[in-house]
Amino acid sequence: MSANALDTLWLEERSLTNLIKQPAIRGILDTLLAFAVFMGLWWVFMDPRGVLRWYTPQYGYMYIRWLLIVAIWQAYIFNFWPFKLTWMEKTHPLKKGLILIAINFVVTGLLVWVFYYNIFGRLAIPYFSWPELKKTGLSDFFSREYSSLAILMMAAIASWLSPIWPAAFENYPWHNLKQPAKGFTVFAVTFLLTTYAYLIFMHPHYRVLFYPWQEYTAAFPWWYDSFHTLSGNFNVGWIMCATVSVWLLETIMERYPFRLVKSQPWRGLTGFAFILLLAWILFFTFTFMQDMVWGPSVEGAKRLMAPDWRYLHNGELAVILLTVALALYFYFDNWPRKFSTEVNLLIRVAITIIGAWGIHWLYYKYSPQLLGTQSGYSHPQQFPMAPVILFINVMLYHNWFMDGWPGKRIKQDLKVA
Amino acid sequence: MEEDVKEVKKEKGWGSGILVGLLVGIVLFMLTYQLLLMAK
Amino acid sequence: MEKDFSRRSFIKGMAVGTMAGYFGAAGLSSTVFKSQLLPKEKLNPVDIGQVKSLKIKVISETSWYDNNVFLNDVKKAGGLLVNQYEIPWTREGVKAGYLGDNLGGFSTYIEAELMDGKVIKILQDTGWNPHWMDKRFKEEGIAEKLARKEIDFQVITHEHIDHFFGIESTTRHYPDIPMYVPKGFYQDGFDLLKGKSFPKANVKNDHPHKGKVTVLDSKQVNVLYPGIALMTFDVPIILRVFGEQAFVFNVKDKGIVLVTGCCHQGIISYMEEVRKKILGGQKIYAVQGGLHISPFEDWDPQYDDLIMAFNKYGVQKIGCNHCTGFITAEKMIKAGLPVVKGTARHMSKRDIYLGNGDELVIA
Repeated sequence: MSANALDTLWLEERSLTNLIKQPAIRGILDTLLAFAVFMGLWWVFMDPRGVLRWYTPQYGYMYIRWLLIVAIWQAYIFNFWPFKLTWMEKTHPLKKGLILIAINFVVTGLLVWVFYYNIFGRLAIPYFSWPELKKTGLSDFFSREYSSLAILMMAAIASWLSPIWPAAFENYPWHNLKQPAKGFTVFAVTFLLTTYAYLIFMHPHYRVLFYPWQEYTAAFPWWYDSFHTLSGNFNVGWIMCATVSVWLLETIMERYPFRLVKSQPWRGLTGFAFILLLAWILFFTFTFMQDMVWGPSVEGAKRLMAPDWRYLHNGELAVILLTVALALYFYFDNWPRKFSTEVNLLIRVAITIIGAWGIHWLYYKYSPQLLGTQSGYSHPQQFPMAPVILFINVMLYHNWFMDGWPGKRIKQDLKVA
Repeated sequence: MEEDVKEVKKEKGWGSGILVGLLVGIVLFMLTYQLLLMAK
Repeated sequence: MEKDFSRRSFIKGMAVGTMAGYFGAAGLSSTVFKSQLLPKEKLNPVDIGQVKSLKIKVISETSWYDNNVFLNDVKKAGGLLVNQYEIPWTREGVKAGYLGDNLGGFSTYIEAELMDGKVIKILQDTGWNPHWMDKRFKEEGIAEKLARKEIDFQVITHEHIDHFFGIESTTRHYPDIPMYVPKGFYQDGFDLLKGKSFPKANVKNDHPHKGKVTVLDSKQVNVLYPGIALMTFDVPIILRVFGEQAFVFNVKDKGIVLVTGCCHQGIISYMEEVRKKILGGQKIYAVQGGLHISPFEDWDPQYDDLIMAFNKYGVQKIGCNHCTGFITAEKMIKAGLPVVKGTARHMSKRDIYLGNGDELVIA
């Protein structure tokens, strides 16, 4: 990270020491631990054979998405406010982790049940609210599914736009504010942008989702002529690629190359543009790869021949890519670090791409047994993004909230500014 | 850091490195393309 | 400052160039050069022969009577990924149901006249609720035909509850009826055929099947008689089912007629496959059966894509019903598609499409 950085996060400043010394063993054990916790959470909350069975799939997926964005707000936007950074440094990671995770769950629950179901959905747009949709006469099942999709789409867009401020803009021009003023400002600005982005990219989906078409309240899906689908899945796909790009650049790519730009806001704007460029390269490349393996999509078709499913699947493939990158970053210390930045980046990108092929193969081979899904690539009630993002959530809890304990912990003799 | 970056870029080798790298990158992608043809 | 060639700079440049070259090539291949790089598919259409005429009788297309009860059963069990053999389906107290039972079933009877005049008699699927299916089989004369072994074979299109769980309605009359099932049938399905019960899902078979069961593979055209073929699709389906097969008939002077159970593979994909793999497949005259678009009267913009694309295929008769959904039928009619009307008898709810007891004749 540049010494001239405008603003830094506690996550960047903390100094971690290894409790398990051997790096490969530490990395493998950490990954297995995270996977075990993920399997436990999946069984309790999501698995169709498990306890709560919320993977219906949008309902459970909605929670998984909001847990992610709330964790980003906690760690990146609010820099762990209201907790003092000395508390963050000194508290045992297990206690600290449980408290921060509990806050994560509670805030997510409040957002869904209070804000969306009972304020925004009741007073503004009913399709954000399960109970409000039921009142219109829709079935209980689809009221829950349709509202879950809308709510999770706001989280998906927020997970692209929110971290751009601390990561690309270094919170410029509010970098000199103290928390919580800084956090609230960045949150407010990014959530406003998220809302507008949602209205442009997802709201038209809801025009055609209801019968009859809601012609007065939402625009016609303006992407139809170029991309041959009325479905908002087209936008879900590239937005997911953009979210993944943000995090690839933030982790394995060390914010290179936009960090070469000397001053803000130009660094941020370059970063934003670069993120979009990478996102669209991923998006179109994944479309091309699917067309090569399965043949070109057919307008009006279902399952894996459907154009909209292919676009959605681009996002799913991108998130698999991100999982490998995050595991490399968190659990294998962003290996390698000994060469020049450029060479390190190349090796990490190669590992990420090859690892993603492997995870993709493993996922589609074993997910029926492990996760209770149906075999096959395209199923109407299946979104690999849900389990993969839940696994990412576990990694974030482990590394952001618990400092990677028991593999690592914070060096106790350092003072934090 | 920025000074380091500028300093390094002044040295000979970057340009030719990038050109060679571009070729390598394109070849690697063509290999990926062949793999996909086999996966069909 | 003297410029020395630096190996370090060269390697760094190579690293940056490799990444830029790889992603740049990816970006350009997938956009500017896409049409040149995508491989062309080699086509080898199969000549399946012809039949003289076709009579398709809807025995039952009402698989369940109350959508909310069905969806509540699914929701309580944990959603549409749960194994159908483990969902406690509601069988009583349903006002709109058959004698209080929410369950009905899907089954179709087909007579295909071959060019030599012989008539092949086919029973497609066997419904869900045996009490309901027994009644309908009796009313349409199917029970009698089964008892006299007049039916040549039975095709189970896919393993779903409403197409297969009523198996004893067939086997009580004709236990050794030759049967075709699609690749993807689970062991539970074969066990049910052999007489196993699944009390949790309220399904049993007191008349084990004793005849030949042929599993038809996907990726090939299975010609049973001249003009009569089955195609199996590798498609993942809700409620832990995989694979569906559908009929392709080639009617002389008319064209291809497609008859499906639920068409989970999607009607557009089905028509595209027929166009590619069947000689004469460009001319699809009619489509009959469930099209699984809005069975729960839910919607998705993808289904609007489907309706907008359907027009391009030049289909003359759309005998859709069952899991097609009323919203779909209304939208199709509004879009000018030739949906065949029914008579809304025998507990079929609306005449907007072919209902129980209705017939489609192609001659």
